Amino acid sequence: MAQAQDTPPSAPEAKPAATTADDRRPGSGPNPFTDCGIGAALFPTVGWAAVTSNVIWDIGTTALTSATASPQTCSGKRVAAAIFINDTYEKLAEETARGQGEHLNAVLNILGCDSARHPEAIEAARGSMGEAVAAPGYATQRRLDKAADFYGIVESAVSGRCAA
Amino acid sequence: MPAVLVCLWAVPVARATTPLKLEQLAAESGWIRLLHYEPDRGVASGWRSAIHSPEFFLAAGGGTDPLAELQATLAAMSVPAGIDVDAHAQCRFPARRIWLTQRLGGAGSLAQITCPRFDGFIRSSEVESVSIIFATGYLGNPASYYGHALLKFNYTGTYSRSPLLDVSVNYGAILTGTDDPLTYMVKGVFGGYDGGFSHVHYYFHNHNYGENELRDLWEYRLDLPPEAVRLIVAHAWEVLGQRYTYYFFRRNCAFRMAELVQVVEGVDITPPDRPWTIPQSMIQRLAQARFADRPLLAEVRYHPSRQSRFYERYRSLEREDAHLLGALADGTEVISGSRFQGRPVTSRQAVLDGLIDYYQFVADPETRASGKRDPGYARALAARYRLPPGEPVVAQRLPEAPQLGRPPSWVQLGWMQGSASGEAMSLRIRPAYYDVLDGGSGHVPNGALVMGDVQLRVEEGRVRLQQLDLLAIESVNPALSGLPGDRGAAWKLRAGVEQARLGCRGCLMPRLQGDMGFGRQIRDGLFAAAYVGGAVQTNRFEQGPGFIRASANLIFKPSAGFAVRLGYEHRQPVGGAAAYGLSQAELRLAFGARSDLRLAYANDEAHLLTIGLGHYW
Repeated sequence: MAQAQDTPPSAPEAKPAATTADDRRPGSGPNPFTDCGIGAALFPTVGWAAVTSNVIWDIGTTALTSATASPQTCSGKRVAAAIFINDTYEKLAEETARGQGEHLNAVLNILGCDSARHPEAIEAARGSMGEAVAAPGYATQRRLDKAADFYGIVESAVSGRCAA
Repeated sequence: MPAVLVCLWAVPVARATTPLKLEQLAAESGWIRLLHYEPDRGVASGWRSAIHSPEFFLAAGGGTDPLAELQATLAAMSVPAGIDVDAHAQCRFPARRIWLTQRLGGAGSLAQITCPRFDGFIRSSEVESVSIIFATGYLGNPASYYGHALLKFNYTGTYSRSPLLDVSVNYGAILTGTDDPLTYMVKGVFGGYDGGFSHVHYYFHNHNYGENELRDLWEYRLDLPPEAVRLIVAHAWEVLGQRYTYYFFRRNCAFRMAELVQVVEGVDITPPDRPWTIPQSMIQRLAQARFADRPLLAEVRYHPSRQSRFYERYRSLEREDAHLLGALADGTEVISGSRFQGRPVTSRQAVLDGLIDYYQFVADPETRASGKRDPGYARALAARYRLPPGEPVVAQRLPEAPQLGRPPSWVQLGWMQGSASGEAMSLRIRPAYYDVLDGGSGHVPNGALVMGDVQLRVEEGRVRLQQLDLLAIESVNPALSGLPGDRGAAWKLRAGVEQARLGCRGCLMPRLQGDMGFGRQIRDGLFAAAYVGGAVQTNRFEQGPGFIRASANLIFKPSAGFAVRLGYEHRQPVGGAAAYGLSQAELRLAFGARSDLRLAYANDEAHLLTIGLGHYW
């Protein structure tokens, strides 16, 4: 059996992603947004048509490949979680406010949090996010920065509470 | 010739006594489908693959020679793996390997090679089932008018962490630059782009369609045995990154997606005999299809867009809470005020959830993508965090499912009588797709998307063109809440040829018409809209080079089978002709999913009455 891929599976011509950071405990690794340069590489500028429905050609996937090539610690489930958060931030923020939701469960699962531990992790994340969204300047904060903050919050919530 | 080919030149099929020659094998439909060969009289074999990437073929002339490709495949499958195992033919073309093993049985036995990248793709064969996702039509992008279809692999076991993390496979045009919209459309229609399959986690499409483009998604899970699922997944791997030529009308996303599924012998979901493939038609055919004596369709799931969710939340609110949401949205009330704070917790939760959906819904697409939000959104979100967790239950009403709708093409035979033009028979053909009276699931409610609508007038043994709509679009929003940003911005566009005036016989003129306005769903089944706009036209028949107009429509649909449209417009011709009014009324009565009766009346001083029986196909 090949190693599990937490990033979108590689196309035949794409480079395989490394997964060397997955052995670290949640909460102890780098934040892919700030430590791996993912923020700049995730979303290349695309034309008006490319962002619409059926003309998408691997937006994100190709950028991910280059972004995760180096350093090796910036790959695996952390990157997968970062991309998921960046792609679906608003849903995550809203579901965290409600304390439940399929996106929230998905990101916890990506980070290896056992489903039995989800309520505890969600409660912790909800507390931190409540402070983040109430902080002055949240409304004008860049989306990428919000996503990076959420990554930190959810990884901290997972750390020590979840069985990886 | 390599030894392996000698021994495989005449090989027995498992449990069969008749030797199977490679020529026969290469002509089998399974091989033809795997290589995407399409009939081509211009080449000796009569076949040319739809894929034009050289790396998809193992023989030099494999793109047009099924036999040579089969021989090369058998040879390449049998050689030992090198250092780069993933480059071995078995790893590059696992579906060919599966098919050959099935067809050749023991004689075709191949040394098992482990393929790390393919195994990563299939996550150790834990794809349990395959779903086709249908995204409803979207009038914000011409390429998406008719909806979209993509494939989803549903994982189970260790990697079944969330349906959002399943893998989706998508076919689309590959854009290489920043073509302007007109070039984009022309190239899309006439094969100016390459097309290909890409794959990404399903949540990407789920978010893009549901949150950014506000399109409902319908998921159709197929009832296929594990070996069929394995073949589809393996074939998807083979075609990822390969290049086709993209054609918007026929060889489009729905066509290619159906091909992926039809690699399984006995599955047939491509709408036949049409120069176009409408995704909804493919879905309807899928809903009727059978495989192994069972319905192919196992399950249908509805995934409402942000707009649909907002409307359902809004509808479900108590009256006071709905007013409160409106007051918070337009700024006449604040979250810290006693009116809001005095409501029970569940009411406050419901109002804030609705308010959050509202801000996301009314944000323009660019704002949504950028992440910038109305300050009100941040306030509502922060307030939601201050309330206890939990989500008030909202009963999501299911719209009519797309697979249950009518076929997309329509023909009508009728009779017309005009005060100036006399009586005549009428024949009308509309290849696609819907108008304000017969729109259904998967369509923009109370909107229209018409292409190639031809009306012919038959009298005294002669056939004349009465009207031709090359394109007619009516884009409306129901504006159910009536809140700021949800006030029903609407537009219309129509290009074609029509009679200059009702009283003028043989007065065909090209005309391009456009309008902007507002619409509002007054209550269930009743929609009203008002527009200002105009037209440019050829300067003939004393009508000037165009006109400006103000118009209003009322659409009444008390049930799915009955609809009425009343309209009036005041036209002021440019260039001195006298102003005039045009009144129109049209009634539609449906008989089942495939027939209707229509009665239409128009008056602009002269009148025209038409009655006709229509059939959908």
